[in-house]
Amino acid sequence: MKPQELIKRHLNDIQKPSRYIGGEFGSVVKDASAVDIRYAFCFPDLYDIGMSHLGMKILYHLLNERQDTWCERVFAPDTDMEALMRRYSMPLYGLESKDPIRDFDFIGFTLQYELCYTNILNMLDLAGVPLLSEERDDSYPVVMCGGPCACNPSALADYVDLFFIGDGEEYFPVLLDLYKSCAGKSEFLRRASQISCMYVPKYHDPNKKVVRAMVEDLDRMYYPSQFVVPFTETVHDRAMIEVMRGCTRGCRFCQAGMIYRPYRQKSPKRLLDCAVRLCENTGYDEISLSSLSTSDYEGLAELTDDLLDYCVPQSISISMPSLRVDNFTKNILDKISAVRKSGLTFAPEAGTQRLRDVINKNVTDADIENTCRIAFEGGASAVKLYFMMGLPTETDEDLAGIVNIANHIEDLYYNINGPKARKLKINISLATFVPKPFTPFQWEAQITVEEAKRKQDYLMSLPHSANIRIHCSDGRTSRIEGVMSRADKKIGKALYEAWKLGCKFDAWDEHFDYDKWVEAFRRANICADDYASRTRSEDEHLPWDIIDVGISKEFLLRERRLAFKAQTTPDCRRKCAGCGINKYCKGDVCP
Amino acid sequence: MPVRIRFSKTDTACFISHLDLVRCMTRAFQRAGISVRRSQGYNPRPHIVFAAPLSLGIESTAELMDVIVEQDLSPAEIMQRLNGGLPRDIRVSDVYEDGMPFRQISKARYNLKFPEQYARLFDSFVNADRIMTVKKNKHGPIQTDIKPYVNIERFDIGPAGADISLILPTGPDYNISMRVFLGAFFDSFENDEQIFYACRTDFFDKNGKLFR
Ligand code: SF4
Ligand code: SF4
Repeated sequence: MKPQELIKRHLNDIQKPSRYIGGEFGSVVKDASAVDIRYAFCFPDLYDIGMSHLGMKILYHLLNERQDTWCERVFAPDTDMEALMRRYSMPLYGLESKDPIRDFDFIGFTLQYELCYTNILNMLDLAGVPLLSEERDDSYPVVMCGGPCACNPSALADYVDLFFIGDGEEYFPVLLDLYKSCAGKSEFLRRASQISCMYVPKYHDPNKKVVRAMVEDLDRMYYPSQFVVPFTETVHDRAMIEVMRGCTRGCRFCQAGMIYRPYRQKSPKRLLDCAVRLCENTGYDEISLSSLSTSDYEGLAELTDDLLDYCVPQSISISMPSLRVDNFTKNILDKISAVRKSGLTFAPEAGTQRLRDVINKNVTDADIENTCRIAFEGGASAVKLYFMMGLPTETDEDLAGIVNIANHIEDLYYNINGPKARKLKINISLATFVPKPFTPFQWEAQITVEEAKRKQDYLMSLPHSANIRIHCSDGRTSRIEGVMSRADKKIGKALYEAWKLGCKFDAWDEHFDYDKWVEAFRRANICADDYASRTRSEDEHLPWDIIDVGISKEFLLRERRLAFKAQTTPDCRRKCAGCGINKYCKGDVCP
Repeated sequence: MPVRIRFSKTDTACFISHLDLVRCMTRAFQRAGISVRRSQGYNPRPHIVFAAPLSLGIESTAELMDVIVEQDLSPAEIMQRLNGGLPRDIRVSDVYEDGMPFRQISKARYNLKFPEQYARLFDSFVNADRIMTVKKNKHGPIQTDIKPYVNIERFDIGPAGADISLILPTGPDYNISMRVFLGAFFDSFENDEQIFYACRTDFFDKNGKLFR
């Protein structure tokens, strides 16, 4: 039975069925008999999330540019659809062909966050593929993973044949060419393990590190001029251009800022060209300038000026998802609200100057005030602020600082707009800090669930006005994220037990079940504290030491020590901090 | 130039809700480079008027929509360009300037197919004294007998199952959606899945004249 037929038979039982049928504009359909390689690009979360993800769009079209390859999309079905698929024994299929992915050559997952790991096991199971790598003979597809979380592959190492570390544009084609020249999966994996950026657990040489792939000149890299345009609304349903990769700031908690080094910008000219083609081909009325920190992009003024000339007559709005509070200007605000007004989001991350110095978030109270002033004078009546809780050296005073900032912003708003102004909305989003591999905080202990709770209660007990809404993430979710982030291979067993107990969609509050995880750790004989809330010694061998992301451990240790002295490190554009990446790849500002 | 556009919505496209279809068409015009008159207001969007919404799960070869094209394009050119901007399973089949007013729509014809095991059941369902449907409104469920409005034009039973042509009231005056009709049928007997094929093929005005 085809998925369309299954859905039609149970239309009343399935939410948003268009997520399961493909056929979107821009999706690529090929003749299966005319290609050599069939690749299932799997995003281990719902369609609504996965279809918003830029990396998937780039690789989907990159792979499909090849005549010999057909890449299809696969997402985790929601529980209603999964129940039906299991009832009818319908194996997980590619959205384009509706063919079972267990008959493909590759099943490739992108790892964007650790809380999707149970979904990976569940999707393999739904595909009808044995979970363990060693139980899959040559007749099964190569199961591979890429994306930021692959930089610590340990938790998934038993289930995955190959991890791809780093930028995909240059090495993906190499991988596919190699596959074509091999007689079977075993030969392919053995030879792939010789490629610098591939980690193949089965054939890994412990004396050699896997080196992250980095593309030096982004301008010369492939960028799609077409996207798959979903029927149903997704989280980010818009055209996107990637203006740069990497970030010069060096915030010490930030894994992306470390593992995407060095800083590589695209030229405004190339970007304008990509943006216009993408808007014309997709029909989107919004284009997002995507990067880790878009207001840092040097060509921003030139790019947005040219872009607006194109966008305004077409009613296309420009959005920038990641703005910094220390260089937000009236000019930027005018440009992002030229066609449509959108919400403003900033991330001061910590409530006091001292703690912001610890984490190297080089942002001052004056910056925050200045940014909000610009926003309020420009007519904004809502701001969203991101903070973290449980940062190293944090005290209650630092938490109180968060509420102080919010109170101060409120005063500022009414001072500017008068007491009768439209009601102000300040949304504060507070995430529990999770120490990540390849950051200066990779040795730190994460706060416990109890401590997270205490901090939250304390914060909520501080007086703040009704205009200020504080939302705290669940400390229990963060704990699981913490265990997965710094997992070693033993965690694989716990992951399996958790999946067996029914854990999936752990990033979703309505599905997350902490008790099941506790039980899974018990069954796998894992002490979760050992992973999440233990300070590692500096000479401890870390599970992710098998990977070389390009920055040196000495640099991380240096940064760690500076953190505890609350000393900041300047932005790469002002002074090189000697992270070591320039040995592999010189970015725009590396010496 | 005001134009009427006839299009089909088949296979996967039958799962696209009306709201999603509106968004899809808006983008399709943009992709096709056809500039369409926009609605007034804070956030102006292309103004597209659809003849009659189609329920989820039902295919169609007869959908109609009206727009005002602000460029000098021939109907054939509009059709060709728009098809280039539409997903595979939505296809424009005709574009013309002299459409009848949508308010004159009064009926629609559907082709309905069931597997053999449902054929007899369907026969007794439509030949019963009453065909009861339940519609919910704010006062709670209301039961209606729609039998007088259902017109079975053709009913063939063969080895492949039942092949039916039927007419349901459609349009501004009185409307029975195919989904409501099918819901009543599937409620009339024990089943845990709904196997059917349904496709809207024509509209008519109240005199029974083919609507275009
Ligand atoms: S500004 Fe800081 S938090 Fe943001 S991406 Fe750069 S390093 Fe990470
Ligand atoms: S080499 Fe220097 S400038 Fe380049 S990313 Fe590292 S610290 Fe920054």
